[in-house]
This record gives sequence, C-alpha cells and structure tokens, in this order.
Amino acid sequence: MSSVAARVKGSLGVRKIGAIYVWIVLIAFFSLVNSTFYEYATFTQVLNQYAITGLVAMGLLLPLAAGLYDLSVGAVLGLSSMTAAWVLVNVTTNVFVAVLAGVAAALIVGVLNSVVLLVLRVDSFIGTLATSSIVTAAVVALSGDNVIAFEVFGDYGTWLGIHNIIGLTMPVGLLLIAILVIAYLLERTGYGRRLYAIGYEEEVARLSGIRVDRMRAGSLLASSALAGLAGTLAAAAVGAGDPTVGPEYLLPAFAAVFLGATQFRNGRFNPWGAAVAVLLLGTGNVGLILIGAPTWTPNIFSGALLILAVALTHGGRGGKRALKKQISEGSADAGAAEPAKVG
Amino acid sequence: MVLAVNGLGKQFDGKWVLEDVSITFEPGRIHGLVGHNGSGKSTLIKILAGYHDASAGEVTLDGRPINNAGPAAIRDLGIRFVHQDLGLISEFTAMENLGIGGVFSQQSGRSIDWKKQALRLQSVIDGFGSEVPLDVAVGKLSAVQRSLIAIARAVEVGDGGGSPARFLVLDEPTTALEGPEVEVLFGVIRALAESGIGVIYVSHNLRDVIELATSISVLRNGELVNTFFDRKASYESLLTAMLGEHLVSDETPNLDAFAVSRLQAQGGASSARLTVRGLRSSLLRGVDLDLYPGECVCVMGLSGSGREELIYALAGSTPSLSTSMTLNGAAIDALSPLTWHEQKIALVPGNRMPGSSVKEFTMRENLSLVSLDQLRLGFRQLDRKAETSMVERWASRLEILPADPEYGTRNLSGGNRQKVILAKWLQADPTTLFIDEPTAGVDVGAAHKLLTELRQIVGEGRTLLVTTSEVGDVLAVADRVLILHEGRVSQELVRGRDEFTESSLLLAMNQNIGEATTMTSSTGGTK
Repeated sequence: MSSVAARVKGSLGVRKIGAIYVWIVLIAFFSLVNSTFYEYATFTQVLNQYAITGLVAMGLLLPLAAGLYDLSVGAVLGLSSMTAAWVLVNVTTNVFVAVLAGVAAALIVGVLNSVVLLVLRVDSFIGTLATSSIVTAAVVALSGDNVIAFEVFGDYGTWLGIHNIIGLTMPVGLLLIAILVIAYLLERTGYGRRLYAIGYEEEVARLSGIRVDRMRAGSLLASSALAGLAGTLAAAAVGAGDPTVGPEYLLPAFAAVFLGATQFRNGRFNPWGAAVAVLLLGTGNVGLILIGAPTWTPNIFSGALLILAVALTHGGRGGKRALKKQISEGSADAGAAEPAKVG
Repeated sequence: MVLAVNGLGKQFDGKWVLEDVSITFEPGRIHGLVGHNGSGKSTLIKILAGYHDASAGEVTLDGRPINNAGPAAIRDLGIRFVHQDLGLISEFTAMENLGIGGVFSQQSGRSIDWKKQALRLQSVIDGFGSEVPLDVAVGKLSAVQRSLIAIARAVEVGDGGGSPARFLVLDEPTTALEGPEVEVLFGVIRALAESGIGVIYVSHNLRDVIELATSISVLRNGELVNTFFDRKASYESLLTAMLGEHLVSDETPNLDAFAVSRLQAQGGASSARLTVRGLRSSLLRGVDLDLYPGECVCVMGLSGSGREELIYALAGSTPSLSTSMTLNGAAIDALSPLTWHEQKIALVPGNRMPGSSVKEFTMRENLSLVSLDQLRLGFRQLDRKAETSMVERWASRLEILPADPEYGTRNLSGGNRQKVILAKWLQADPTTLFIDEPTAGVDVGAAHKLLTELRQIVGEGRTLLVTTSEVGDVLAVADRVLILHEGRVSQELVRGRDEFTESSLLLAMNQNIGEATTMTSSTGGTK
C-alpha cells in the first residue's frame, strides 16, 4: 500500500503538476482581487477564448514531438481565416465548405514546410520562420491588406462562435476532440512512440527502420491543418478574416506546449500538459483584464510563461545537448574504448 | 622540470578505474603509455588535463602539486594535449583553428593581429620540416597535415602569457595516418622531444610505442603494471604486461570442433546467407564477406582499419558501395534500415554509439521500438500489457537490472543498456545480426552474460557479424575472425584450424604495422 501512496504522492508532486498548483493560486488571487472573477461565466469565457490557442497547441505537439519547430502556425492561422472569409463572401455561405477551404489552404503551407525542411533540409526553426514570412506576405498581397468582413450573425458566426452547450461554444468541443485524438495517437499507438523516438534520437529511429521523413511530413501537415482549423474559428469569433490575426496565437500556443511538456510526462511534449497550460494561460490573461490591468499585460504574462517553461525543460535544446556531451565525456572512460565513428 | 603523478586514483560511481598510479615524466623524453580499453589510460590523461579531479594522490610539476587546477591553468603551466580527434574545425583554416586552442581567447576584446599570428604559426610549422598551407580549410588537408596543425597549436606559445609548452600529451596520434605519414609524424615528435619537450605518447599500437618511446608505462585494469625504462621493452614483454597472466581466458567455451565441422559442411557460396563483394566506404577499400547460417564472424582491426565502420557500411546506414551482394542466394542491391525488417536483419550498435538507444525513453519503450507492430490491437492501439510482459521476459532472460520495464534508459548501466539494445533486436527475430562492440563499456558480469547469449543465438542458426576491439569477446564467441587492415581483410583465422588465442589474435592484428621492426614471435597466420 505504501507504494501506492508513494505513487500518488509522486504524481501530485510540484514537479509533475506544478502548473495546476499555479493555476489554483491564480484563481484564488483573482477571486480575492475581483469579486466578479469567481463565476461560471469567467470559466466559459476562458475556455471559449482559449480553445483556439489550444487547437494550435495540439497541432504543434506533433512536429515538436518529432523534433521540429513549426513557427508558421501563426501565419497559417491568418491565411485560413482569410480563406474562409473569402469563401463566405464570394462563394458560398455553407459553413462546412468555408471551414474546409480554410483547412485546405493551411495544408498547402504544410506541404511547403515539408519540402523546405525535409527535401531542402533547412533547419526547422529557420525554415518555418521563412515560410511564415512568405505566407504572411502572400496573404497581405492577395487581400490588399484588408480584412474581409462577413455577417457575424450569419450561419458561420452563429455555428462556430455563438451556439453553445452550457456556455461552451463549438471551438471548445473541437479542442476536446483534438486533445483526445492527439492523446490517443501519441500515447496509445506505435505511431506516437515512433514520433517521440524521432524527436529524441533521430539516428535511433532511422536505424530502427522508422520512415523518419515521412512521419515528420505527416506531423507538419497535421500541425498546419489544426492551425488552419483554428484560423477558421478565429474568423468566426470576430466575423472577419484578418491577415494579421496569427501572431497573437503563436506565442501563447508555444508557451502552452513547452509549459505542458514540464507537466505529467517528465519533459515529454504531451496533450494533457498542454491543455492545462492553456487553461493556466487563459485564466491568467482573462483575470488580468478583469482586474483592470492594462491590455499589454497578457503579452508579458505569456512571454514570461514561455521563458519559464523552456527554462524548466532543462534550459532548452542547446543547453541540454551541451550538458549531455559533458556527462558522456565525463564518464566515457570508465570503461573506455576509443569512440567509434559512424559516417 | 618534471611532471609526475603520485599514487593517483580515480573513482567513478564507487568503482576505482585508476588506482595508485605513480609515473614520472621527464622533459626531452618520449614516454609511452599503453594499455587496453578500460585500462585507465584515458582517465589518467583526463586528470592530467585537469578535466577530472583525482580521487586520490596528486599530480606534481617540479614537486609542486597541480592537480585539480582546471584545464586553463594546466595549459598555462605548459602542459598541452592533442586528442585523438584533434579538435580541429574542418571548415576553418589552420590560422582560424589556432583561435580555438585558447591562444586568442586570452586577448579577448582586442582585435587579432593575423599577420603576427601567421608568422608565429608558420615558424612553428617550419620547424616541423613539413609543408602545411595555413590559409586552406583544414578539412581539405591531408590527415598528417591536420595532425601537425593540431600539434603546432598545442605547442604554440600564445600571447597571453603562460608558459611555453613543456609537456605534450598525444592520444592515439596515428589512428588516421598511413605508413609514410606516420614516419612524418614520428619525425616531428622526435624533434619536439629533442627541443626539450616531454612527450607522453598514448597508444594501443605497441609497435609505434616501441619505436618511439624511451620509457613505456603499462596500465591494466586501472593499475600500473610496470614501467620499462631505456628502451628495454620488447613486444612480448609489453603484451604480457598488458594482458596479464590470463593470456587465454579460462571461460572460453570450446568451440573448435564445432567450427571445423561446419566449415567442412559449408559447400560453397550457394549455402551462404549473405555474400558481399567489394564493399567500399570512407574507410573500407573493398571487403568481401561470406556469412553462413549458424556462425559468428568477428572482425578485428586497429582504429582506422575500417573495423569501426564495417557493419554500418554493410547495413547501409553509412554511405557505402559494393559490387555485388546476395541474401539467401538472391542478388540484392543494398541493405537499408527500411528493408531490414523484411530481410530479417538487425544492426545492434554499441551502447555508446549514436543510434543505440533513446535515453529519454523507458526500458520498455526502447525495447519494443522495432516490434511495435507485433503489439497491435484494434485501431492501431498498442497492447501495453503485452508490451510490459514482453519486456519482463527479456529482463529475466538476459538478467537486466533493475528488471523494471518503466526504468529510465538514461539511468541504466552500460551493460544493462546493451542488453536492452540486444533484446530490442532479438525480439524482431532476425536471422542475421550485425553487432558493434557488444561489450564496450560493459562490466565483466554483464559482458559474460551478453557473450553467452550471443553464442546461444548462433546455436539457434542465426548469423552473427561482430566488430569488436575486445579480444576477449572474440575468444568467447567467434567461429572465424577477419582481421582488417587499411580497409581490407588482411587475414582470416578459423577456430580449430589456426591458433586461436589472445596473443595470436593480437599478433595478427598488429602484424601489419611497423613491418620494419623485427619480430621474434612467429605465431599467427599467413599474411
């Protein structure tokens, strides 16, 4: 029985679920400062607003698990929001078609990312930063830098932004589905295991016969598709396609995924941690606005959280690698052989 | 100016890897340091370099203790190092590489006087009596030229004060060099010694050491066995000192009859499982192989012989070419990790190799990585229960400790990690296994278990190709031994046909080097 107790204790430790404790502290703090905070309406507001960020975060999990950054999700979000709005205004008011169009446009960027990273072998951080810039520019060029407004209370806006069950709108439902699907993929299937193997040790994955490039391409397409879906929802929320909407989701989504990696799974990118981190982020930002903090404070909150999260995941990649090298060199001679070389 | 270690010891994880070693290195002398893998020579060097702190004893320079001073202080005292990989950046020129040795860093903030630097480096290189262009990326230079640059950088004075080079430690400097190049390097080393620098020459190549060094210290299992002074060491005396009394391990199974009978049974290439002709890679220059079912072929060779690359080139994980290849009698283009699964081939990298295991994974996750498809339920769900019991089965069969499937691979000892890697591939039920350094960094007990297991899977009719630098491994598992030299098979030893002992194998491996040196022993096979 004591081992069960130890297990429970271990899984409730600050290192495992610290974000949940911080979240509770935040809720307590905001409730004390502002009596209108501790209400169901605040809860639904956080979820409804941050479901879109959550979807982007869920998409990001896949390339990150496979060891790739996808910085283009912000630009993809802008692209798909514009595409959906354009279809609504110019082609059809069918909700489904508009969403599909947005996702399809996003997938094109996913293909572009795959080519740049996996065929041209450009580093993922730089490569997706570049495609992000190209996509943003293309959207501005095609739209003349104008937003495309549509009827907010039409089918599209109503279905995706207003209709709700117990106060929760469509994006929350989609996020829930995304969490479950991604969790299943990453944690219950061989696909997920292989993806993590690629991200941690590409060479191990390659020697294990895993189709590294194919799986990475799939992860990039998935991340683009989810960012695309998020874009169509963002358009519905404001009743317009907006080419500049991307950046405000990019950073929080990354913050959520990296902070999430410090939760539950010992440094592994995982959907549950990311979901908790989105809640934490949303609660903090909504709370700050509710207590009357200036509108720039949420950005500081997100930025600080991202730094904290990455610092918690062993000081980022470079630091970790340097540390690893140090450790392996330090102990290499304990049973020393000359290090062999692989070409 | 004398550099000495007195009663030096080093402990890792409670185990003494170096114990009570006392050696005196004198200026103007070349002092050889030899020992097999795990003998403690790398640890000794790392303590000298200030990289490790000593757990016991001290390092003194002219009687003054200098241990635990740290690498920068050691450099300032004039003790310099050239490591096996040289530490050069291939894209940089010789001049730019000079900057990484710490010479420029001492004048940070001021701009570099390139002309002055170039003159000084040139004068050092000129002293070597060898042409080395300083304005070409070092990656474009020959191996010996790169070595000379690394040595020049090490003995270079630098601007920032500090002492001129007094002692130079060279770690396996001839690894990448070929015959005539070795002579050039030796010339430079002798010149440095004549100029008053004490050279500590670390190598496992006994002939090189005998040719160069006036004194030779032999380490075995972390202890100093002997120091031979005044060129009194012979090849045999060094070999005996290195290997100890147990020239032939008493644990060696008696496989002689087995190997001979099967050799006779092997009709010809038609029964071979895998044949390869003319395998080439960056180190291999045309290797032919015939591997039969139920045999274990070990490949030995000194560093740089191609031994370290063979199985990776063969398995198609490193760029390679071959003129022809057959698998079970059918011609195939090449092997590749993507097709191993269908072809029932496994590549088991040594546990310190990149590509062996995912440190962040649990034992369970690493072990099942190539057999995930065996564990599939509906909707592609993994059968976690079956996965766990599979890992538990292997843990008990191979005596993996701790036998907890959820144990982090990062925390496993080298031997246990190696067992996990072997189990990972055995679970995929391969007919042919390529195994690199199965016991490198593995403690004796685990190594014994691993080797017994290897012998057993050979008995099951599988084919093993093992590359190793451990003679003990070969004696324990090999039916045949191929000796690689300069990218080619120089000799084949068959158990039961040829003399098959530790000394005969070492002799065969070392025979191709320093042909000029007279050899008193005539054991070993044909050359």
